[in-house]
Amino acid sequence: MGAKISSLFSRFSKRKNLRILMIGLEGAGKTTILYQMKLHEHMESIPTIGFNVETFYYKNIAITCWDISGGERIRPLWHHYFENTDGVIFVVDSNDRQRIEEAKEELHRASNDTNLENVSFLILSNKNDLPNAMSNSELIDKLDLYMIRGKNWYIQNSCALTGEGLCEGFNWLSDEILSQIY
Amino acid sequence: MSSSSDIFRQLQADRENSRCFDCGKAGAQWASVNLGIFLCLECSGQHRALGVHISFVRSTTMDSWSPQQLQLMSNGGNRRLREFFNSYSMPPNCTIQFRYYTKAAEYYRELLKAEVERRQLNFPPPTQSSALQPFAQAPVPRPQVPRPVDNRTSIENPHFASNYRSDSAESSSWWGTSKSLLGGAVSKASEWASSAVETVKDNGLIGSIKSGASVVIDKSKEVGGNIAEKIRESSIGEKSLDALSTVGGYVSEGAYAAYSKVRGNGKPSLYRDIDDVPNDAGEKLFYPETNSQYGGAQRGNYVPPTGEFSWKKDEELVQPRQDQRYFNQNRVEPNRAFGYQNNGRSYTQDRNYQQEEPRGYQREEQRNYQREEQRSFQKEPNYYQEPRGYYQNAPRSQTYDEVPDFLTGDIKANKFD
Repeated sequence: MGAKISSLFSRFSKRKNLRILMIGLEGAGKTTILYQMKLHEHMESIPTIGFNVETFYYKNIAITCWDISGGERIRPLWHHYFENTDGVIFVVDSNDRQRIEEAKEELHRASNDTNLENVSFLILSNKNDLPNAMSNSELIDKLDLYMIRGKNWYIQNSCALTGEGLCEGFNWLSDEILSQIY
Repeated sequence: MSSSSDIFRQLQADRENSRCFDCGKAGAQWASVNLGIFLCLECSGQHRALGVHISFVRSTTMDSWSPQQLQLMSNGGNRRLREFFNSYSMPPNCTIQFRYYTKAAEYYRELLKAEVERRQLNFPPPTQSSALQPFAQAPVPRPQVPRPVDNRTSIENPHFASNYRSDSAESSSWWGTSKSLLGGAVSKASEWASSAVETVKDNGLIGSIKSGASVVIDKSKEVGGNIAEKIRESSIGEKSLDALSTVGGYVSEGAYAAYSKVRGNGKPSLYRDIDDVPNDAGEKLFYPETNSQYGGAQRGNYVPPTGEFSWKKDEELVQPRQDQRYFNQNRVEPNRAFGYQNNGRSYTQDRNYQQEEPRGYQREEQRNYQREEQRSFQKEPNYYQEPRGYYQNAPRSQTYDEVPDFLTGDIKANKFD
């Protein structure tokens, strides 16, 4: 009977559960983005130790978003979360010019992982409201985004404090993933 | 060369460095590198929100430190910054954002950096009057982006109106679920059809399509109602559910086809865009009670209930990408031994199932099973034996309120004395 009901469900709705991984250096704004998407308000966060998981609904899609701590000791553990991932969000602090090299290394390490083949990457250049922030073209240059092969990526400005740019980014990511599935 | 933990142990031997600079809490494990101060976890969160040019936060225990950063920490320290701020009479209870956006703080950052890099500082120290002014334009607080409108039209969405209305007891039973499903189907079908009518109206096309679409609405509502009644009358059965799913599917597919034809694009999008939501219809369909004139939540300020909800399909959130239902369609039922039954609901009632006659040793097994079954139902011998001797004549199959005399007679007569 359960099977019958689920087949009845599937007549009206397709699969809309996505597992999305959010990584990036510490202090880039991952946790703020997560709760901005979940609660639509700015919550003051403390440095994440471990990870946060939230499920929220975006355009009929249930998105399970894993926000993983970006601390140096925890970055080697990122690859344990890579399996069964539908999409990856890499958050960059566009105001932090000193650590952009570090961010580039981490991004390419993640994008070359075998578990993330054919997985789309959304790069959110966060804190873009600050006056000294890097532009998108500068970030593409400094992060060597054209070196990412075999997967689609997209770079989006955002400001996690107000939620600007987040919906645009999730729009692209969900469209991309659903177009691959169906 | 000593490691960073040793250096921090030395630095925090000073009592003031082991406390948070902003709140004074003991056990400061975080540090702002360019200010050279130690912080607690909560204050480090606030410092991170300022941006790395104001305060660059690192963990003393979990991050790796370069020699230059360690030099900044040992040159700075909580005591030095406190004395520096005191010399400019910084108010003690000001906010973190105010304190580190001042010209004094900017000067202090430059001072520390120049000391570590061993270069001349050509940054003038602020005067007493201008020290507490912001050194640059602090970021203006910007308005919160409004929440998206259309993240609520899913059947599985717990904020969906039909899930609201059904109480938990009803929704857990099969009748509740099928009813809510039917309601969802009919409302979806009628919604598609009605939006088709609207688009026809807007485009100024022929009225015949309009009448056809309205016929679709009526039909779908009729069919839905009929199904609901029939299910209520009949008992729970696989076949009725089968019929329900197929008919429901036809209704929805028909309406969907009509909708997509009238829209003109053969392949409608997976989800509805914001522009596709009709002004009134969506509100009425999905939030009939909250849209009341007595002050329910409106489109703009609707706040879904927070807190934990129980969602049955939680395991499916992490299910693998392969779709289970295609797997189930092509599945072949395994051949089981004869007589295996599933608690009154036989799997042979499946539509696609054809039972095979057992052959060879399976036939033997079947016969053995039948024989054993017959034997087990034979009448058992009566193992009860009539009592003999002293109790032979005692009346049986009676209940006594007191112990009968023929048992206690000896005791009463004191024969054992």
